[in-house]
Amino acid sequence: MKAQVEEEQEIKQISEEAHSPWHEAWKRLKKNKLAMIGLGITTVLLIVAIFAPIIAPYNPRYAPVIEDGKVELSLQGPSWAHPFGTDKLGRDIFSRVVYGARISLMVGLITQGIALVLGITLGAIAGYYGGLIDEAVSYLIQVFLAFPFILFAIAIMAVFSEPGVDKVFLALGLISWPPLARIVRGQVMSIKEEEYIEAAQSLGASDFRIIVKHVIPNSLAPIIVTVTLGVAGAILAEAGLSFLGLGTQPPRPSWGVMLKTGQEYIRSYPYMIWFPGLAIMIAVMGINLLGDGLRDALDPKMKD
Amino acid sequence: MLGYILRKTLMVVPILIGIATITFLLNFVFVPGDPVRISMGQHADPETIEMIRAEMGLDDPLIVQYGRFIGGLFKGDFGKSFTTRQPVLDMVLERFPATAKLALAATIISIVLGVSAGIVSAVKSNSFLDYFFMTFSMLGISMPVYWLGLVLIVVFSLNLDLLPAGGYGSGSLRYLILPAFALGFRQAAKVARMTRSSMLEVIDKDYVKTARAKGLSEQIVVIKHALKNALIPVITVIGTQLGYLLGGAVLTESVFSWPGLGRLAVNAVLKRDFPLIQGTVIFLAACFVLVNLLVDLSYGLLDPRIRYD
Amino acid sequence: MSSTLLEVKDLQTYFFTDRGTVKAVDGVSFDVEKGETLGIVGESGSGKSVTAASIMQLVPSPPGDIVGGEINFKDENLLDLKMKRIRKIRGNEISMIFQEPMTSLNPVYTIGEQISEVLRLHQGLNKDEALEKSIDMLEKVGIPSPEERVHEHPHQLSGGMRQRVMIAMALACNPELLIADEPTTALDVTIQAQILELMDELRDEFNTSIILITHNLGVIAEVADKVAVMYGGRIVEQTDTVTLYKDPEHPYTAGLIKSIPKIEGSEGKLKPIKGTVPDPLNFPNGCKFANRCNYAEEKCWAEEPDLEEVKPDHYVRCWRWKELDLKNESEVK
Repeated sequence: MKAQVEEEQEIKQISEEAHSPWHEAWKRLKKNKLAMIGLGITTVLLIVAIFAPIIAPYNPRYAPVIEDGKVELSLQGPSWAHPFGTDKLGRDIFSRVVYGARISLMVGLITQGIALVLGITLGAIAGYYGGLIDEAVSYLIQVFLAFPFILFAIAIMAVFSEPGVDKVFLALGLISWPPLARIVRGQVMSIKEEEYIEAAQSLGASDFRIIVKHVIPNSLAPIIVTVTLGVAGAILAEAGLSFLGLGTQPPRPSWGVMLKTGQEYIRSYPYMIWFPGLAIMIAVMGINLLGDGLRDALDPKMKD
Repeated sequence: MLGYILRKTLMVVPILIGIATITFLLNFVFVPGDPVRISMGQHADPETIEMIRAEMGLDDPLIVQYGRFIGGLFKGDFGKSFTTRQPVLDMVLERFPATAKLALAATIISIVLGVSAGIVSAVKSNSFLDYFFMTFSMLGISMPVYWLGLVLIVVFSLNLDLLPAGGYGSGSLRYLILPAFALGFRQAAKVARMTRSSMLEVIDKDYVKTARAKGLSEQIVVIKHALKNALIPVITVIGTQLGYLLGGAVLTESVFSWPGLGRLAVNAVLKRDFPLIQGTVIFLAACFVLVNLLVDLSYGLLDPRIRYD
Repeated sequence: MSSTLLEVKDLQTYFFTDRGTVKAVDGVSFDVEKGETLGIVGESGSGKSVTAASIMQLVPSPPGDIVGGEINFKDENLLDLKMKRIRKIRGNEISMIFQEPMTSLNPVYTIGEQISEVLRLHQGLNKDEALEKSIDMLEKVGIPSPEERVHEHPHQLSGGMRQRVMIAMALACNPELLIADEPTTALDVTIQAQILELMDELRDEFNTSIILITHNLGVIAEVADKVAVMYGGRIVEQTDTVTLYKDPEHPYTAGLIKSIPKIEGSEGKLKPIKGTVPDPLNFPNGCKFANRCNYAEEKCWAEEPDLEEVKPDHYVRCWRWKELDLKNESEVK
């Protein structure tokens, strides 16, 4: 009986070890209720963004103009036909919120894409070559992180002669790379010390291949977490810039633009600010919850 | 100790120079065309433009301009605004008290709300109150500050008619409440989460058990023995989150027509007044860096294990 | 005979976890006389620390809860008292010191502040009086230049010094009972001996009773008058220290004795008891020690034995104590 118990325990241990760390992480993630809520919200957000033309009942940019250029549906409160109401130009706010998800997600993904390219490149170069190059990159990281984020974005947006969503991608992408560069740099430095890199080097593998083969997979977990939380941050930042009039420009249905318009009518038509704001909050919260959950699942030791 | 402070302070100088350099490069290298012309508009008098260009030395080689720019900053010369022709530093300093007041009030709100919610959540972890506070802080972190500002205006100004919807009210406290709360809420949420997790970590420590074994009441155990240790990481969060707070101040000021640096910066961008943009950005970034320096130096007061050598 | 200071009767402390109820302490009884040292010995998971925490009512709740029994201290049952009264007893009449001197002192307060706190709380001393008394106590526990040390922070002291500070703090109010939970485990062997000696001296000086909790029977041998051996939340053997060493009746006790390092440097020849303490939810149904016992029979697996008095004041929980001769256990098998 004793032997049997021991044997069973051993088998259990072995089978647990056989699973990949990703499988284990997924199991931990599935147990985390908040993370699952986050995953649910993020999935809904993706679906809404992709299928916006199907989901939105009206054109988000232009309302049908009734004769003489008059807009009949202007500034109507929420109703069955327009659950979130209409704006000054008679546009259906629900449809605009739905299309807004597209802009927000695009901003999140594209800025993080730019940040990934910059961050991995700079981080890898700094960590791999060390010395003066490393010092320069580390200095740059420090300086970039010393700027208040939104303010930095505003300063960059000022450079462009016309603001617009494409410039928002660029501005936010240009300032979002430092945390990623830090992760990659640290990972490269620690892996550089390890033997298998030395072995790979003596076999004549190129630096680039070493980095791609060993560093990226090893730093994937923190990168995924940082990028996920970065998407949420970028969505907030884009909305903020657009709210100030320095980001996405009307008639594009960015949530921030809608809040800016809503602010103008806040005294008489306060309903206009509820839904775009709620959309931002729910989207950001969903992605944040997912990011927090991923952090706990991928590396229980990682902390912010 | 003094040497430590000095060394830490000196380490900040290159960062400040870096901030100034990037801001300089942004505006004078990447701006296509002539910044003065862009700023003054298409129909500006060519002679005026030429005069401003000459006055600002925009025809000198870039490196000379850069040297002059950095040198000027050290002397407190941030250049002159394109639009008002006033020294940028004067304009910045004139607006700074309003922003400082707003940021300070928001920070106080965030500490009071955040730390108390965090303590309650940790001490009564997994209780209804814990879930309540943590849900609120999750919402707070995800909520755009300016949207919260708008919601507060709708509720407290328009519906209840309790507080003014905006303006500075020549410094009256009534005008400060809503913007400070809107701005402080996100920070409070961050502080609450950090306090909670930090308290939960500390509350199981042996020295907390020792404190209980001494016969101290639970309040004294929590406040005197646990909280003082738990606050160390919370202070860090308050420092690092100041960047968000200052960024949020820009947005909050815009919602509440608060006459601070944020509105100055936004208007400068809209008017493409590059020296003014540079000035406000450098000034606010420097505030961020310096407050974090203070936070760094204050650890020693809380944690005797930190050595100054 | 001397009078009884503490009487623990059928104490039951359970932990209610998601996986099930852990009976961490399950019907434990013992007495401590005035000025006496009781050793409680067992491996981790035996319930010895939970027993100590239960006396102080420091069991974390939830998930822990004292579900039954009595803890009679002088003429009060501690389990009936209000929290306010318990706090008057803690640190004043009953004190406790813990295993980890490195982490048991609060890092952000000075030694003096931490000792003074307990004096000001229970004895109503003012700041200066408390500091003076703290310095006295530091001197008593053998800390050199106490006037300076009293203003230092814990991180400036070594582990041994910190444990001395803990002892000073625990004895500051001259308690009648000191509970020491593995006080020397985290320390070097030489420091261990010094601390034990110090506790012994202080017991004589203050006439304090001590409950010494440890996994190391060697430590017990040096200071305890009598011993309770715990396993799986139960006392499996209980008697005076001399009898326990000379004439152990429980195979677990015999195993613990064999695992004492006899001569310094002979640690290589230690014979630890085979196997490990099972998961608290998976103890055998019968005798809890059955799965690790060399002598377990069918009956041992089927039914748990009672604690039997084998000789006056010598209790054993084993079906086979009569048949087994454990004095030279290594030769039996």
